Amino acid sequence: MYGRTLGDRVLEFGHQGILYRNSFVMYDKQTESLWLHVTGEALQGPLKGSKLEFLPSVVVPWGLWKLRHPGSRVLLGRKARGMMGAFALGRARELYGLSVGQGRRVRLYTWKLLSRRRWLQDEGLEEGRPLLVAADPETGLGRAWVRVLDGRTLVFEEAAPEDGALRLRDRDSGSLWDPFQGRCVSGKRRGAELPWVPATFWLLERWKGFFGEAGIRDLPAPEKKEGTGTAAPAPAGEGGGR
Amino acid sequence: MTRSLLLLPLLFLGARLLPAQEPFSEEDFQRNARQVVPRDAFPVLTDPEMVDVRRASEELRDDEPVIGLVLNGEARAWPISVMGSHELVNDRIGGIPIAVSW
Repeated sequence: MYGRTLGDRVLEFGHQGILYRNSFVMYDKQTESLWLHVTGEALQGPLKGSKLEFLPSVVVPWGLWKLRHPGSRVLLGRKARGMMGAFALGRARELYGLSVGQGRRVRLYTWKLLSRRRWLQDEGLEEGRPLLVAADPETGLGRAWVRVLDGRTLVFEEAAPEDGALRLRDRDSGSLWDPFQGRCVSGKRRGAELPWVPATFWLLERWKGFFGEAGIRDLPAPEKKEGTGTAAPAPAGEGGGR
Repeated sequence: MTRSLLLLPLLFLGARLLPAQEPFSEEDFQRNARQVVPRDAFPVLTDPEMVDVRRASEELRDDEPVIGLVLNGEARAWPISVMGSHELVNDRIGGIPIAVSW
């Protein structure tokens, strides 16, 4: 999901009909530049090198969205299975992973890993920006944040859930955080928010076709002990385990 | 002839050791991009009609995944099943022009 304003120009995109590394290519009707839908970057044409702004969309079941946003407007139309599949709940979701980051600085956390751990801490995609990644196995929601506040890196541990909702405690202040909102919900840091990081679910195979396997975080095979193993390559911190 | 045959493994090894084309470079794009359907074969939408939650609930199951975004106080959702038909939607939310893709 991208903003389509570039400077003072609003772009309108069409489908170029081209597949590049198994992902489709867009063109803008204003300049005919070609854009990668994967990275939001123009590869050819007058706007070559330009990047679109990534927006913080989520993917959740309709039942949850309508409860949280009863005033939402919704697109309806003919249904079809697209190139990225249906992203249905259940085992089919193991074909996906959460792609965290933007452009070429990305990492993919497999659904197998996320659904087992529910949250994890990892090194940053950029120096000084370590990550907190969370996923809800029930709804499929996945979010990522930079776990730095006022220049301090936060280290989290799992706290008791509140009304069934996952809560994390930062070790140096003991404050409680909602890892799906990136927000401190109680304690000394209440109201504080972590910087948001783009996170989108991708079909694993398509992601590999673009970015290779080096950036993939997965469960070790076989995992030695549920919930205490580290992903390969190992994220810096522990996540939850069930 | 024999010399040529002896060179073959070296050529093979050389090809293996050469750096692969970096993804996202224009060279790699020209080498790997394939025109699979004509331009605009997918019916990309621009500023589509949207419906309210009540109407949408007549057609969407509760477990159907939707792409959702809240921006400038406005919430919009694009069901993945519908995005499969279009791949791409030029939309606006909270006055901001956006491109939704799946």
